Amino acid sequence: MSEIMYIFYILPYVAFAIFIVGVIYRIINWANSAVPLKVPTTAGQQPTFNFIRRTWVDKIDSPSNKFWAFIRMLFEVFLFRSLFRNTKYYVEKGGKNADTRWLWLFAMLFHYSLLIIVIRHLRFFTNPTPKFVSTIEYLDGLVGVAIVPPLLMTGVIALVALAFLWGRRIFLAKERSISLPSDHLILFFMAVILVSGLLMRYIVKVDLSYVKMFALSIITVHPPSPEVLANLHWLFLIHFTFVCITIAYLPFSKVMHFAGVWFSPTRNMPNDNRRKRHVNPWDPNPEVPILARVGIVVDGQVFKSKKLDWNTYYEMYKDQLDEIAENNYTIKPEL
Amino acid sequence: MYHKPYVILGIVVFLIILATPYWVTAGNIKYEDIHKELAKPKGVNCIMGVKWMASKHMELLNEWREIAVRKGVRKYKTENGVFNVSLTECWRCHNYDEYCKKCHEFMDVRPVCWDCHYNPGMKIPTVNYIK
Ligand code: HEC
Ligand code: HEC
Ligand code: HEC
Repeated sequence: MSEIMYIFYILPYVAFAIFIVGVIYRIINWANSAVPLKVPTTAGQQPTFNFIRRTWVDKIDSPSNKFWAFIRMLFEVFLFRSLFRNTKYYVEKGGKNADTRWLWLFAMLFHYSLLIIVIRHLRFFTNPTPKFVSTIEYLDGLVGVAIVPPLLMTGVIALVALAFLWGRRIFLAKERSISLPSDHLILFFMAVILVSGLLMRYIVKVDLSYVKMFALSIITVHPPSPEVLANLHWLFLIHFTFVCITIAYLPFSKVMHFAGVWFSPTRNMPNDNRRKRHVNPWDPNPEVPILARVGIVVDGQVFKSKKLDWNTYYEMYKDQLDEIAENNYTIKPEL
Repeated sequence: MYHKPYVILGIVVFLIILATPYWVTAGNIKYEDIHKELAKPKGVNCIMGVKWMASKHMELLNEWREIAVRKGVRKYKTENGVFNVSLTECWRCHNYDEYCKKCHEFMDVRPVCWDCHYNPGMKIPTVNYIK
């Protein structure tokens, strides 16, 4: 019985091995794909004449060089700038755009709470615990200090934000229709982890001294004694197992957006289309301007655009066109 | 691979972030069997069973606070005997510095209780009613 508990000791190493190899594999995979076109999205005034005003917001939203593109990336990564401009189009409201920045708000709350929660967890993986971890936990618990143990804000905020983000995919019809099983899966993992963690802290009390000894044994690669393993609480084991499963699942999941955002051409390209020529990396002879060519070369193949004449078109789609004609429709070329 | 220097920089940053526990402590993480380090308490039994106490002693104290302050209950009976409902009751058998504080420091728990309450680890000469 006690030997089988060592599975829990092996689990994090397996999970992290999958995570690290998987993430690096995907990063290199992305880095190997070419960006044939210049596709920055711009939401600000790009530099033109001197008398056209260009504020620093324009510089971020329409960066004209690498430096500002980098700043834009920082805004994207740390403040979710493109999500902040999120609106939703309503046909039934006369084509009006409705403000859906609440998505940005809850996304921010969720991500930053999660960051603080992860930093707080350092107290289990360090001995002695660095000062800043205690300080963060202290600040986090200031509001809920009247409770034993102090109610940490971020745990509650993360749970509320998760409820909104999942509720959005469940209760809003459009969002539900574009949600894939994998979208729900990762939310389910997060929910299990959060709820089990909160239960462990506030309701089903767990002997944390053994939890910390177990965590230290993982990080110092010092196999835990059977006594430590025997004293781990079942709720902790659920929490821990789900964390490991999630970590192993990350490289296969949409959470890879933490690396993918850096590769996003609409975000990382400066908007200097008119000043600098973007060379398609696939292009075998980039010296010849595109407009002067017979066709466009992609991966060694020449694609010509030619005008179809009616007879060729009719030959190509004869079956369908005849079937349509059988239903009393007139099939004729549009002149 | 396109933009190789940036990609490699990104991977390195990713690995550095993953290694956070090691560099924030400058590689100084000590494995410690905390239960071997705690001072031996006096007496035979704690207020409740050891396992119960280990995970729920803060809840017990919290309950005590409530029944003492709000209901005036000053005695608490368990299967191990009758105890005074007070934070100072613990010092009858436990050494603060070598017991509570050691484990709390290991766990990085900072009970706010000692902002107001006395514990024997404090140097307050006027307190002499605890024996
Ligand atoms: C085996 C380790 C251990 C020992 C020994 C121990 N504690 Fe604790 N104590 C903890 C842990 C772990 C927590 C935090 C639990 C949590 O967050 O749910 C805690 C929390 C508390 C809290 C609640 C404060 C807070 O911020 O959550 C109080 C009060 C407390 N302990 C008092 C004591 C006293 C008094 C003693 C000595 C008689 C003692 N403890 C001995 C591990 C220990
Ligand atoms: C009558 C003496 C006595 C009193 C009073 C007492 N304890 Fe204990 N306590 C003990 C003994 C003895 C043990 C160890 C039992 C063992 O190891 O078998 C213990 C164990 C504990 C543990 C378990 C630590 C571990 O090994 O995980 C905690 C926590 C604890 N006590 C907290 C308290 C707190 C808090 C109070 C005050 C409300 C208190 N005790 C009052 C005698 C006492
Ligand atoms: C702001 C100061 C303050 C803090 C912080 C505080 N207490 Fe108290 N506590 C008091 C005062 C004042 C009393 C006395 C009430 C009385 O005796 O009528 C008291 C009484 C108690 C009592 C019952 C009487 C006694 O002699 O112990 C308990 C038990 C208690 N507190 C537990 C706690 C615990 C556990 C914590 C930490 C989680 C805590 N207190 C934090 C101020 C505080």
